[in-house]
This record gives sequence, C-alpha cells and structure tokens, in this order.
Amino acid sequence: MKTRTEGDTLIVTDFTELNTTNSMWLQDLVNQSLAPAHKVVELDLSKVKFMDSNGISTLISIHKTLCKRGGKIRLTRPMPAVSHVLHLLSMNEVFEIINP
Amino acid sequence: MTDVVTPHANQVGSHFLSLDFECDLRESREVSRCVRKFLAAVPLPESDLHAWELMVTEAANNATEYATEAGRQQRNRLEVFCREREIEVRLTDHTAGFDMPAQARLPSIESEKGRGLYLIQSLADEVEYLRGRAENCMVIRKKRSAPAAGVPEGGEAAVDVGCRFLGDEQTLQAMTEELASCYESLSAIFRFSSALNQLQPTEEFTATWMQELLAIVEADWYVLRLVELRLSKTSLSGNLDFALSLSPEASSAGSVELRAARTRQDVWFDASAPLMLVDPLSHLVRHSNGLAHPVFAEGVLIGVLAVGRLSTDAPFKAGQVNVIQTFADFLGLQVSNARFRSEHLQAKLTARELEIASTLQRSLLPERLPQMPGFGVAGYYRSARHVGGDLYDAIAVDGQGVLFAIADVMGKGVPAAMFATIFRSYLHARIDLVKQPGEFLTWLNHSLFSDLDRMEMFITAQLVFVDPAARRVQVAGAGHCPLLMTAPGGSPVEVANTGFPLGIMPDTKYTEEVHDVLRDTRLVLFTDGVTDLENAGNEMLGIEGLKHNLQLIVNRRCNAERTVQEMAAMLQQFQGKKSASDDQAFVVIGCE
Repeated sequence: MKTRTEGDTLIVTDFTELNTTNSMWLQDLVNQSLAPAHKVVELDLSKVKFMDSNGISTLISIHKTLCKRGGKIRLTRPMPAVSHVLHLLSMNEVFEIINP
Repeated sequence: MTDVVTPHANQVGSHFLSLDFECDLRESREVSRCVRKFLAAVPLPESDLHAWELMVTEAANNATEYATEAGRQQRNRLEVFCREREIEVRLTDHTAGFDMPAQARLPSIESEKGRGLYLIQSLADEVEYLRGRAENCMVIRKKRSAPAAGVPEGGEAAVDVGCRFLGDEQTLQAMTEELASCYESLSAIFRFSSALNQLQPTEEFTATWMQELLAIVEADWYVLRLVELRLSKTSLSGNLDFALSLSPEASSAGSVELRAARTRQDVWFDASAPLMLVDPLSHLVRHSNGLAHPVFAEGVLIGVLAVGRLSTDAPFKAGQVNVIQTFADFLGLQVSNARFRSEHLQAKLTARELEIASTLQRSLLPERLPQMPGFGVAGYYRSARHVGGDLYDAIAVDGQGVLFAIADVMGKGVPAAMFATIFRSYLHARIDLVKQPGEFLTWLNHSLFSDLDRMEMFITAQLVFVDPAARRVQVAGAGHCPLLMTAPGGSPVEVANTGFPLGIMPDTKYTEEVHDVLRDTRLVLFTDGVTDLENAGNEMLGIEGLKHNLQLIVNRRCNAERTVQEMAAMLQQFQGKKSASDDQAFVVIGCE
C-alpha cells in the first residue's frame, strides 16, 4: 500500500485485496498518515480484486473517523466484482464512489 | 493446511474437494482462494468464482471467529461438491452455533459487523445451517452458470495451491455415504408419503416411521410424546414406547423433554450433560447421549421426540440432526393431519347425532294441547344448542279430564332423546292410570328402572291430572321442579316437588297431592331449563325470579296463551344475548 497527498486528500493506492487480515494494515496506515489538513481519504480500488465484509467494516470505521472531523471517504475505480459487493451492502449510500 | 489440490472427477461426473483448516483467519482466506482455483477448472464464469470466493471467506471467517475454546483445538472442514447443475459447499464448524434467520437483515449503516451472513444469503441460491452437538454445518448451494465463452481461467486448477488431496477411494466413499444418506431419507419419505392416504392407526404408522429414523441416524432408542389435544400445552403424554406421562407441574429443569417443549429448542444430553435422576427419560435410558427435539405442526407444539444412542459416545453429526429434525417435522404434519381427520369425522358424527336427536325431540311434542271446558292450555318449548331430553305431553280422557306430563331426561343428544321417546311411549301405554298420577309415576319408575339404571341415567317428571268439572287437580312429582299455582293478587305456591327421579330407586312409591282450582288460577309446569336460565351477568333466573315474574304476568289477568307469550318474552329479555345451555319447556293451565 502507498499513500500520497493531493490538496486536502489522502490517497491510498497499490493494494489488491481488502480482507480480514490486510484491512487492519489499511486502518493503521490511514491513522498514521492522516494529517489535520486531510478532509478526504481516497482509496484507489482499481487493483482490488477481492473485498470481504471485514474490509467493508474497516472502510466504515475510517468513514466514521473522517465524519468526526467533517471529512469523508471516497472510493475510486472499483472493479466490477468489488462494485457489486459495495452495492449489495448499500455502501454506495455511505461512500462517495467514483467510477472510471 | 497442507499440500496439493487436484480436481477429481468421480464416476458420476461430479467433482469433489475436501479441505481441513485451522481456526486461523489467514487460513480462512487461503481456503477461499483454494476453492476459487478448484472451481475455475470446473469451469465457472468469473462472477460465480468471485461469489464463491467471497461466500467461503465469510463462512470460514465466522467458523474461525466464533469457534468455542474446545473447538479451536479442532480443524474445520470444507467440502465442495460440483454437481451437474449446482455447486454445494459444506463447512463444518465447531462453534456454539446460531439460529439462522430465513433472510439475514442488513445491519445499520453505522454498524461495523454483521454483514457476512447477509452476503452469503444474497449470493447463494440456498443456505442451510445444520446444528449438531459438537459441530455444525453450513450448506451453501448455488446453481452452476455456463462459463463465458473462451478458455477457463488458464489452467489454474492444475496449480499446486496447497490443499489436501482426497484420493479416488476416499472420494468415492464420501460420495457413496452422502448418496446413501440422501437415498435412505428420501426413500423413507416417499414410502410414508405413499402411505398418507391409507387409513391406519397413527401409532402403528408412527412406530414404523421411527424405526426407519433409528436406522438412518444410527440411534438406538427413541421416545415420542404427543401433547394431548385437550390438555394444557405443557402436559405431555401419549408416548409410543413407554407408558409414562408428565404432569404440567413437572419441573422442566429435571426433564430434557419438557425443557425442549418450553424453550422450543433442541436440548442435548450426554456424559457432560447427563440426564438427571428425576428425569423420566433416565428411568428408561440411564446413560445415553442424544437430543430432545420439539415437534411442531404449523408452528404449534404437538410433542417432543427424544432420540439417543447407547452403543457409542459419539454425538449425532449435523447431517444426522438434520435428518432427525426433518423426520420430526414430517411426522408432526402426519400426526396433525391424522388428528384433523379424526376430529373432522367426529364432528360430522356429532352433527348427525344432534340432527337425529332434534328430529326425535320435535316428534315428541304434541301438535296441539287438548282443551277443556272452563280451562285454557298453552305450551312453550325452546331447544338449546345441544338437544336435551325435555318433553311435555297431554293425554285426554274423554269427559273426565286431561293428564299433563312434563319430564326432563338427564343428559343430552341421542341417548336423552331416546329415553324421552321411551318415556312418552310408556306414558301412553296406561290410560287406566291417568287419573292416579302418583300410581302412574310408581309404575313408570318400576318399568323404566332397569334400562335407566343400566345406562346410569334418570328422568325427572311431573304428572298433573286436571278434572275440569270438579275444578280440581291431582299432582305427583318425581324429582321434578314444583308445579307453580297462583292467581291474580296472590303469590305462587309450589306443589309436589317431592320424590326421587325415575331410575334412582327401584321400588319408590309416589304419592299425589289434590288441590282445588279457583277461577283465574294459573298452573305452570316447567323444566329446570327455565329456572337455570342465565343472563349476561351469569345470574340465574332461579325459582324466586320465575315466581316473581309469573305473578306480575298473572296479575295482568292474561289467559293461558297470553301468559305463555308473556313468559317467553320475559325469559328472552332476561337471557339477553347469552345463549341458553339447556332446553326450556313449560305448560300453562288457566282456570278461566
């Protein structure tokens, strides 16, 4: 996983899964990288082939953290399988999802 | 988890995979990757591969996260069956188990948990969760979709992905066991289905059924107790194998069956949770393991089925528990249907009986009462819902007078109506006795005693002979309501309420009273259905109520017919909307 900052957005890239084990790493990475100026955390899902319910839980946890500081989470370019799961769980009502 | 997976095609063209894995979330993920690679060679389209990967991940995560302390020491098992039209995955866990909802609800947006089962149910065509004593089994099925055109995911199936390979022999054995189990269950169900329309004793039917169950689940004994239809819900009795009943007061703490009935859940017993000494089951099977399963029919508890093993300590497997539950559910429906048929037949018989009794009853009443010079006569009869044995009659003796009779046969339905008919026949058999009511009752009692005694029935009766010329009445009673005699401005006098009912004592001698009847006097013969009439407040009219109201009517100097009409109106007003529980009959004789 890699992070970079563009304006008020923390962008996370280069991960292929969001599952029970690695979603904890994502949580830790965001917590460590999040600066006061960051209002948005953007997760680039273009390489993510698999996301389970624990991965979703981690996204919700990050979302709550950002809400407390007036920010939000944004998911970009999800692959069809991941997009299907997000819609199945109505996560499109929670997160901003940007498709290509 | 160790080594090598290779898809294996068995003789019936299916594929089978079996994996054992530790309670470790990393292994859970590895298992789902394994399944994906295995299914890719089936082949399946990408969307199905992803769905299975996700469902297996979620199921395996749950099996790992919720394993009991003892369960963590054991390996979970995942089996994949590729059939011609569907894929089935079974995951055997060692958790405490849970009651799977028909459709899991999506948790609130804020919740960070509880989406795994929802995902599985959303992606699968069918999900079952079979609960066992030491293990449970989630069964997930999904129809096979045709793969997308082109080559399936490039030869992934042949890749060594680190899973355990089941060889030909083991695979065949597992498949054979599965097929045998299914075949036994299904064939048993088909056999019993075909027996549905055959009239046979429910107990015999059920006993055969239970023997089949014992063989299929490798059990040694069973006890089935059915809830008595008319007893309270917690009273269990009517078991097939053992004469034993549990009172409603029995402590549920001491009986696994009552506990199963009251909690509406399976209750297990084994060496770690043995049957208590006070448990009725322990008197039959002291050391055993098994379960007590509540049996329902359309949501209503109809009994408890206890099944157990004596020969082994091994608890029933999840699949076997499922068979027990399925058989019990099916049995519940059969017993319920049998009872319904029986009740339906009984209801038809009862309706027919009441119809017969009602016809008999109506035929007993005289079409019109004989009239006498200087007297008016009128009668009233109202039948309650259950036909009783009330009747009144009058026998005129040319130029001498009329004998009035009123009677009430104890009981309802056909027997009461039959005895009323017999009584009436005897009444008409001795014209010579009509002027001697006391003597007549003595003869009636003597003649009817043996039949009444044998049937444990009796008849209350009152005979009143009216001599219009002499304006005199002779009254004799056999345990019947008194004759009421009154005139305007007076108060009702009770006459001749003495003597045993007919059929009580064989040699009873009945006496009679003689009274002169003055002008405007009203005589009322009645049955206890009149005085026992209740109003909406459950208050009975009673003899005093009747006397009070009768006097009010008589004071208005109504003739006999009008008196009957006014009394009938009074009774209906008193009764209100409440239905009468007994017939009402009365006869009014008025000296004009």
